[in-house]
Amino acid sequence: MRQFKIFTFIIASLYSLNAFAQEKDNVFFGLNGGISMPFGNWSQSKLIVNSTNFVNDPSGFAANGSVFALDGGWYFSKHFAIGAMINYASYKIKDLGTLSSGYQQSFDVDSVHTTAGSYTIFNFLPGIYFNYPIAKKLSVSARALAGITSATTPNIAVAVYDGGIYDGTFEQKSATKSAFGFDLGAGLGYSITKSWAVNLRADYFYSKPDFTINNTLRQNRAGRLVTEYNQPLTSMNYSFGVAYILSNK
Amino acid sequence: MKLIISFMQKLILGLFASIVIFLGGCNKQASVGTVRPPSNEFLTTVELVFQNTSNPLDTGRGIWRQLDPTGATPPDTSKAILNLKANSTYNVQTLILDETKTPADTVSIVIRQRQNYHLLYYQPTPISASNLIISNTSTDIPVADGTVTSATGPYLNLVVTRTDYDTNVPPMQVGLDLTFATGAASTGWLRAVQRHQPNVKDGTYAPGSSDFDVNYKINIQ
Repeated sequence: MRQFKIFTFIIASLYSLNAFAQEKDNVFFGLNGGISMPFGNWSQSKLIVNSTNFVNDPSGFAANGSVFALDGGWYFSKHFAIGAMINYASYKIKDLGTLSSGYQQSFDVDSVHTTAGSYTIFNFLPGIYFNYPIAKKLSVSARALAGITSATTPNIAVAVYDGGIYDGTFEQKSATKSAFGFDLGAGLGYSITKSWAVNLRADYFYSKPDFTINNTLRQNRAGRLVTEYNQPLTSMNYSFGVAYILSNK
Repeated sequence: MKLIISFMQKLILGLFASIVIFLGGCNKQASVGTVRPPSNEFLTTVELVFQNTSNPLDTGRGIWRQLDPTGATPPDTSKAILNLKANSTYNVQTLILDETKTPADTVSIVIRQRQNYHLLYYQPTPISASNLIISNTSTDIPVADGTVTSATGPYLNLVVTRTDYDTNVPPMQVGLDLTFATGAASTGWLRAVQRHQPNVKDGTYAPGSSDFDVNYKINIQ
């Protein structure tokens, strides 16, 4: 259902941009996909072993993920445009063995089985676009966008086994939070035709949602327990895409 | 030119298809199992070290020892005997050792660190059904887990109380520190069980598994 909503939103946005493009000059829209590389505490994967108390560690265990973006805008001057980008990124949990080992050692049990979902980030970021031709078909671009980020943390389930006994499964539940986010990007564009171009982009993304995370069946004080995650979600996004430019000049 | 545009339109559609496939595949979960690495850490010896609260010279220890980790050799129970005075109160500490190491490793220090998911039980027998108390503050072991009650006696006149607490919220008893309250002269057995209850400790016997399950001869004189 969630995927359907996102897909519908993308199609609706594309349709709107296309309609807008038919009315206005110097309008563009583009579609990009690539890799998103998180960094900072969000991407750390520290082994947490504590048998005497809970540990709320900032390590986020976010792996490199995928990012897809749809954007569009209108050039109100020769080089500057106003526009907006919607994008969606997903990051699986990295070093799941480290996370799992922390629980196994904290509870001193024969084994644990850890299952984790993914982080997802969905952005709507309006802002300013800049484009400057440096050769006949080659141009550099930049953008500064800021808006709303909706991020979701993964659900993590840990099943505990010891002495031939299944000791239950506890969960760190998935949490969703919206917050301010911004994107600073630069890229290169190459015109294939008058209307079509391909581009390479590098974007820095930042947001800091303050997640409140529910945990179930954490009965005894030991091991990693994240009840609040208030760390920057920062990433570098590298993408390739196409742009459609509608101009009557 | 039309061919190029047509190609670009197909490319756009292809990218959209990729997005849909990508979004559809995002819910796949990663999963991993972590197994305890092989170790040479054993639990060979359980000692009950006691001291009379009104007579510091009245001390002793009962020692249950099993040096064969395979269990093929029977445990040494020749010293698993506690001789206690009647109508007295004793402070008791449970000491758990790994005597395969030199010097012996005091495992009970580790158990103390891991007290939030360990709970020790002590069951005196013979005991009457009416005196068998199953609660979060009793050291009695339920009938379903091996306690045999006696309708006729004679009963062992010993009451065991845990005096230490873990750091859970709310705190729960642990059972490395105890008091023994003796009554009239009697003899019987004391079964000591350490329950390992990882994330399932709730004050009851049932959750988890047993790290040791040993018996001592009790003489109250």
